[in-house]
Amino acid sequence: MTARRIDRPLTGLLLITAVLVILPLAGLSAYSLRAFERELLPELDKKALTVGLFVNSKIERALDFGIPFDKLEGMSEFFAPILATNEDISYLAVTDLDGTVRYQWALPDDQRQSLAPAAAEAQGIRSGLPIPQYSDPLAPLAALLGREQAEHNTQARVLGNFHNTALPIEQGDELVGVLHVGANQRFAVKQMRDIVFDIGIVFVVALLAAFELLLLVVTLNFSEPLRRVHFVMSEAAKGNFNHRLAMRTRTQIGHLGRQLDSLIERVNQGYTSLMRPAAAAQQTRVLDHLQHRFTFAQDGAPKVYRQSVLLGIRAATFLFMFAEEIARPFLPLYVREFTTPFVGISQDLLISLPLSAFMLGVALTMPFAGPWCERIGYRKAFVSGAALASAGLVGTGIATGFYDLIAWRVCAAIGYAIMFAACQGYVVEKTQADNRAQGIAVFVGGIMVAAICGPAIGGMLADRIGYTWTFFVGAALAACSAWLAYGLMTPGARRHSPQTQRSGIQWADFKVVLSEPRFVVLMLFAAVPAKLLLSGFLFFLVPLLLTHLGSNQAEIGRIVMTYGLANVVLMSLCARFADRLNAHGFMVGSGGVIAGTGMIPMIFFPNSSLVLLGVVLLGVGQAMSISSQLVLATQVCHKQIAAHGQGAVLGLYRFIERLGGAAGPFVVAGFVTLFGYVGAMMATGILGVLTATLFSVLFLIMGVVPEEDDQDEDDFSPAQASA
Amino acid sequence: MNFRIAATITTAVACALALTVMLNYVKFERTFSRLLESRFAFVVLDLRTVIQTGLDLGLELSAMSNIQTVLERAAERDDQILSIAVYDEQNNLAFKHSELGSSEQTVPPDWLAASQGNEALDSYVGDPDVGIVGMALINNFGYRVGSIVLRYDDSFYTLALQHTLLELIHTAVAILGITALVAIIWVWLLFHGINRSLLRMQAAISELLNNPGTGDFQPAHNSELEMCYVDTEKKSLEALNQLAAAQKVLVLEQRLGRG
Repeated sequence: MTARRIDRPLTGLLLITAVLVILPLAGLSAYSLRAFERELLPELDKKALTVGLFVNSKIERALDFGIPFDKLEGMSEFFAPILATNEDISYLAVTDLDGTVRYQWALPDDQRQSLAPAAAEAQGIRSGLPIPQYSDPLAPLAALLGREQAEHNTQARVLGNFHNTALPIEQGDELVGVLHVGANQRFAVKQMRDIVFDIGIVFVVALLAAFELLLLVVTLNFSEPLRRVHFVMSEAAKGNFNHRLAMRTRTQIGHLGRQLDSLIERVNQGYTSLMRPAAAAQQTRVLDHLQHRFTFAQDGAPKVYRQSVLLGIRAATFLFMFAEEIARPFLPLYVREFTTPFVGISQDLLISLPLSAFMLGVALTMPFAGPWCERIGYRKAFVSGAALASAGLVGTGIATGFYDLIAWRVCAAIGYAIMFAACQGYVVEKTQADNRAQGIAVFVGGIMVAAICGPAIGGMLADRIGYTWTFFVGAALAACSAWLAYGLMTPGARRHSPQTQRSGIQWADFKVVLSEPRFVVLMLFAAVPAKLLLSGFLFFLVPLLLTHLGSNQAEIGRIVMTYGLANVVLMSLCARFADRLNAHGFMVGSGGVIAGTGMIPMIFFPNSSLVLLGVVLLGVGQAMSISSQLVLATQVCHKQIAAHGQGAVLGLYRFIERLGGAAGPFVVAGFVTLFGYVGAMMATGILGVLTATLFSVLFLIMGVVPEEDDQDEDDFSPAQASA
Repeated sequence: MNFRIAATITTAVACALALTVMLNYVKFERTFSRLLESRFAFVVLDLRTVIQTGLDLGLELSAMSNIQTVLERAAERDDQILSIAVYDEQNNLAFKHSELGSSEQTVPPDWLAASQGNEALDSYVGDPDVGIVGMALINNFGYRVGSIVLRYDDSFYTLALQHTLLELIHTAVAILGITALVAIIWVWLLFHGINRSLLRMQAAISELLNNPGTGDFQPAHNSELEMCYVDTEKKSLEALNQLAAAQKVLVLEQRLGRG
């Protein structure tokens, strides 16, 4: 059975899920809008009345001094500042008793004619009557849900797109004119427009999360069991009765699996019963004949056919990374609340410390985490890592001082490193060389999706429920990831034989690898700057800079999210392009230049759109360069890999790269101290462009491999290296 | 399986709806509170302009007897206004429009703490049903010579928020119920064919186990799994028949050997 046929229901499910997410969200938002209009418009009318009474009293005072109604001077100058400070009021106008406009400010042309009936009405009534009920398209739904329609009881009338409050103007006892105060009827719609982006983000994140969960549920309950049933059936159809399913699920597939096991057991029982009674010579002849046509379980117990499902770890990793990414858009702002400038140390340098401590914690823990996870088992290690990270997030949320905040960030970093090492180790354990890349792609996919969802939701939550509660949400998600990992990761046998990839780093490796000048150039001018830009610009500077420019948390989250989006869309495309053209050096150099270039224009036009451009180009540049950097590392160190193993070289590569990440916030904080937020963005961009240019020039001079090794170059495949 | 899949979809929709309710509600709450505050802030600003005119003319705050009338007129215009009070430099009550409680004889300390002074308009929620908007009064030399504080009844505001939140939750729950129903029906439709096929194969194996030799399973022509099952059934029958035959041969040979 082909994978496409098995996955066909999944496509249908994803489609219906998309529909089932978008329709309720749209329906609820439309309903909310109507409910808000019902509550907000009367309040807006009250505001218009307050403003109207104030304006009216001033005009009547002027009239009491004997100024004729048609000779009032400076009315526009009087109206303008009132409208400027009360954005919810749309216009102010004074008409004659017949509705002719005498004085006005911001009155739309098409509204002039409408004021006559309102003026006439104002002369007749002094007390409010209910304004005509606006037509509510969701009224039937409201009635169905038992909602009563509230009645507006104000002096306002609906005139065109406005709620017009008309107040008579008196000179002595004589009615001389009418004051009109207009409030936009679409006020609620305008307010709700602000959250359209947020609801869009909720839709995207809900869809991505639903797809992740559906993928897991359908794979565990449907696709994978069906594949197993199909495999055992196909083998039996070929005469091989040496596999059974041993399914425990109570689904239809589970029942079929057990029936199939019974059939196979029956066949094998028949075979074992032959082995008991007969004389040796006759038995051998008969058995030989049967064995020629069929394969039976020799001991009467067929082998259980089971394959490791890596999707479990994808879901757990997705949740864990979601939890970690949730604080991305506001962590520097949160840290700022704990800092006061020391003598000689700027506040921005202090803000960078907990961020750098986290990165450093990850970098220093990783080399030890690998062997430790191997020793205690990957499932236990994942659960421990997630629990530590969860505690770190709670601690960060309730930290009372700067130093305990740093301690909690380090705690979260250790958890992060352990979880990451456990994931990598688990994938290596559960896959073979031929499907390892696929296995890694499964769990990296979860990380990438989380990099999109986490910052967007984190920003939104921080904006609404505050930093502390958002950290708690992150902690709960990390705890859920531990629970999920415990349920879905199969505990493996402890390893006694050495692994194919060594996970720890030994100091001797430094000497070996750093003796290769190309590796040093790659690290200094490509790998380290890439991580430095990522942590320094995206994690540290962007939240601070955007806040400086007036953006709220939700906007910051949306902008940070675009980095993950660019990565997801372009990463595999760029990797394929680089592999096809063997242009890894080019991709690293040009990716670095693009990432840096995006940050430079900010100095000329400081606004949030250019920060967005910087983040998107950082995502594009890093999507181009990250996977190519890894391939280049294996290419330039192929001799060292041959001698010491790929694990040692790549472990060291990752370690140095992470140190760059740890330096990032600190370096960029230094730029902020020197040049301010906007200048720091440009300086970071220049640093990125300079290092990428130096990398390109040096690699053009040196080549990927030494001259004498050129003849060997063709023998070395990049695919081998990246595997 | 159908239930688990439908539950997964429903959970995702429930999370999305919960987030949307939260987003909508918080936006509503902020807009409503801003609108409410801005109305009373407008009144305070108007009163401040009147008082400030006197201060600019060099009058002492205590000497401006017209303030009392101005306060009463302003309070009459809005029945949500509980009190308007003007406090002097020492934060003691100078003018009022209504009988104030003993705690209101001086500037509310919480409001004073929140107050930025000078030109800022500060608002503060005193107790759950009372909102406070106030502003400092500044003389010609830029010194703070008093403050004006307006208390308003915002109990209706709390009620409106509760009502809106409940309404949103009820609507979300109703929508979720409909969604769950659609999800269950859709999943059932989507997996109905496969489940029927699985049931047919189960029955066929059962039949085969109970009455060996009766395998006559008719596969649906578009089901790859059923086609595969037919081959499995044939091979299993063949194996069972051959095993039975071998058993007979061995028993026969055993008897012949004994004979």
